[in-house]
Amino acid sequence: MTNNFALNDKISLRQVQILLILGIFGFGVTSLPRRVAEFAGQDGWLGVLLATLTALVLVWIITNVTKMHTGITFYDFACKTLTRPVGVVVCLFLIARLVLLAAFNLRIFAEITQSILLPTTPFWIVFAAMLVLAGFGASKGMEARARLAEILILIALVPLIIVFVISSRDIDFTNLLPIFNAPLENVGRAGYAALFAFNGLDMLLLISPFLARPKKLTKSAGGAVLTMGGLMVAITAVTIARFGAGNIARHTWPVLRMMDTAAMPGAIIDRQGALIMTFWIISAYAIINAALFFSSLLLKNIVGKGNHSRYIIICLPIIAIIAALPDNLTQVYNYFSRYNNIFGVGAMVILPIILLIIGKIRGVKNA
Amino acid sequence: MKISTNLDENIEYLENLFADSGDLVKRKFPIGTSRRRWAYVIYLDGMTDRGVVEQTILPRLMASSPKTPEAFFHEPISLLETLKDGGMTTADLREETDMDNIVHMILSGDTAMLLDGDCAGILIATRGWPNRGVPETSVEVVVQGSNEAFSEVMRFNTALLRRRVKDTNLKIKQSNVGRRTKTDIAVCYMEDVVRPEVLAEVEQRLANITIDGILDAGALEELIEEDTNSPFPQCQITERPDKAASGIMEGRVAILVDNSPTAILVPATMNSFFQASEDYSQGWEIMSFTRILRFAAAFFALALPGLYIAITTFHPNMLPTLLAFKMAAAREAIPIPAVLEILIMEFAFELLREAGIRLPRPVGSSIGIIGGLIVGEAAVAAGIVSPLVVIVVALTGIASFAIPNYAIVSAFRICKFLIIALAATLGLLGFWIALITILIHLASMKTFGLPYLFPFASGDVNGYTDFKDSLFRAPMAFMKKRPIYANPNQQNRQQPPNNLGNPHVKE
Repeated sequence: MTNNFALNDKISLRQVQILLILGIFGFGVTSLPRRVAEFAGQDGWLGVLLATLTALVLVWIITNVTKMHTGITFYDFACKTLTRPVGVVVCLFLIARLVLLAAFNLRIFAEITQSILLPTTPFWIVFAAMLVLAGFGASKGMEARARLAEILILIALVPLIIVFVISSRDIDFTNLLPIFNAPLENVGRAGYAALFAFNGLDMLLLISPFLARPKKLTKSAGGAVLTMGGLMVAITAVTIARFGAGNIARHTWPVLRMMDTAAMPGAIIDRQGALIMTFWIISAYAIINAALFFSSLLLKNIVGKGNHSRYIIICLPIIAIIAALPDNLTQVYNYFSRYNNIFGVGAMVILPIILLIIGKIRGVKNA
Repeated sequence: MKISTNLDENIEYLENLFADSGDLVKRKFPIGTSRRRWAYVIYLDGMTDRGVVEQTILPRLMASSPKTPEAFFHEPISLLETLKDGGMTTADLREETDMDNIVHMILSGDTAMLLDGDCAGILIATRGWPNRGVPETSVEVVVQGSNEAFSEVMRFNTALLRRRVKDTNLKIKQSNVGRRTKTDIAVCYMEDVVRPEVLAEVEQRLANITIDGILDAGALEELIEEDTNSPFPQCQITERPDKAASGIMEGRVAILVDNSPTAILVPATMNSFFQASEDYSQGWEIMSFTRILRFAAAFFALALPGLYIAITTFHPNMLPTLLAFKMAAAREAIPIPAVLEILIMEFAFELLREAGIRLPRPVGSSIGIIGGLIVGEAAVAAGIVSPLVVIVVALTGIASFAIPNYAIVSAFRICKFLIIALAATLGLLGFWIALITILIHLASMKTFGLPYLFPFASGDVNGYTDFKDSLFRAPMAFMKKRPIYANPNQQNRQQPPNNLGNPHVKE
């Protein structure tokens, strides 16, 4: 336990956990039950379980790469391990991954906002409002982001969990039976689809300069992933049980639908959709903010000068334009799954494994 | 400038400096009856306790009396030494060789005595001026607890602190700020409990001030704040000596400013503005309830009007059908949009609040009548605003009075309008964007190196012990550790066995 706040721009492991949960646990969840039920029917939740276990392995790999370069930036580490040109390419790849991730989340957020909160407001206003907010947050630096996350997670998760518990009261759990009905291969496919609910795990690669105590990173990040995995399994199981594996495909965001229609006993609020929007607003903020922060940081490292705030300003319009490109929601999800196959797998699986192996072989040590 | 050995040169210098100063009292006089050695006494009338000068010090030196020291009748080797070694019947005097210091001390109310043939003068502490004694608290009023408040005289204020903390570790470091006003300030702290880095930071910031004058603690506060563009206060201003003493005991630094009936306490986290000194003089159950009430009040004061606008204008479908109908019926005949309604009423309320402060006390009550009748009843009867808006604005106003610190309430008042503006344009999305913007700002703020939102953010640095005195107030027996302000080596507030004088608790 350190009591010294003079350590600027350092965050504690608790804050890493909170940032991770807030940044990852978001829009992936809204459509998760539909995507896994597509492959594995009522056994979809097994796919989520599988994805959680895979995510744990990925966390182990990623955090071990992070621990190789405590004290120096990811850019320096990549250049050292893979030579400078390859390092720059890797960083550019990560920037593209983050910017695209922010753009997809922004678009999905705008779609949800339009369907629940503001049916007549044009997209670009929602884009602008959210991007300015996320940019403002990112410009304040890592420490402020971490402190804010500690506050936001309470505001976001408490109503979500309350509504979730209430909406899961009158549910027919026989909809989940029989278990182990789906072939193993389908569960595997569901697991692969569910893995992208953990999109953003690779940001752990970039946090090494901000860690006050990097040694226990694996354990903390693993704890955070387990927490999220548990929540996701529960949400998926309850949602499938509620709608049945056959009907679930009718809803774009089955989780939203379920929570919106649940009857709150004696509540002053009739439809919780707007209340739950609190959660989506905060998680959209968190993921876009994280993507902006890290991509601007990588850009700054590559260029090698200036404050990271100016790179945030460069990223903002790019994200807005990409978010506006798809014509409709179907196209968004189509692009998103293609993106996941390339950038998601690349950043979360392939890149960390390569870095871990080459790092070990070349014996790259801490600065 | 050094003092000259020639008395007349010194006199000429001083009288030039103090030319056209009607309150100056000065006299050159021979010491004893021999009329061989001369002295010059100078002080400012009204700043000085004349009794001490005229009745205790001068009679012994001016004339031959049974009290006049023997040495004065001969040719003393050093007049200065003789005077210091018993010529004067006061303990509080010192030798000074620098003319600028002499001038400063005269201006502060001391009496200076210059001597023929000596290159040093004597400064006698004779400060004494009209004051209103120790006043009663007027802003931070409590039901139970001390009613003493700080006064304008800094020396009284340090005494009020000393009376509460009888420990030699309580240090009171005096200096002055303001090139012209030379305002005395005192930095008070517990030497062993304060965080050295915080104390160093305070001293550094005070030393960096180059302004010509400070007239009040509030002006000093702005000069030592981290972020002057923030509406949120980063120093806590208090008029209560018990609050300042308790802050000092927790490791905070109190800054007293002469002529200002308040102390500045730093560091000041958001949480500290929700704590009142009463919280510790009543039961923990009641005060925990009050704490939760205060935080709820803060949310209302900040967000209620914005939430009302967002829900009525954009999302009436969130409400249960009956309530939605009721609200629609109340708004039916109102010719203006909800946001304008709220803004009109908020404006009226802010006007009333401001006028209420400026009004002379005898007519003060009339503002309540005018406010209640005209702004409330008449506006509704005239159909300009709906009764619901009156309720919302009144609730917002009442909530703002439930928070024990005025400065933080002012910040909430300003931020309230940001929320109103965004909620009126983007509904709940705007409401949350405004709220998150404010939170980003708060999360990025630090007060003398500590996170402003502590312990709600970064609480794990202290093992979350500071939560025991935040949203609720834990029983004293559970608050064994000092808050984050204290030096990490001085964490323990209570020494074992920790039974707090309760015979029923087993050791």
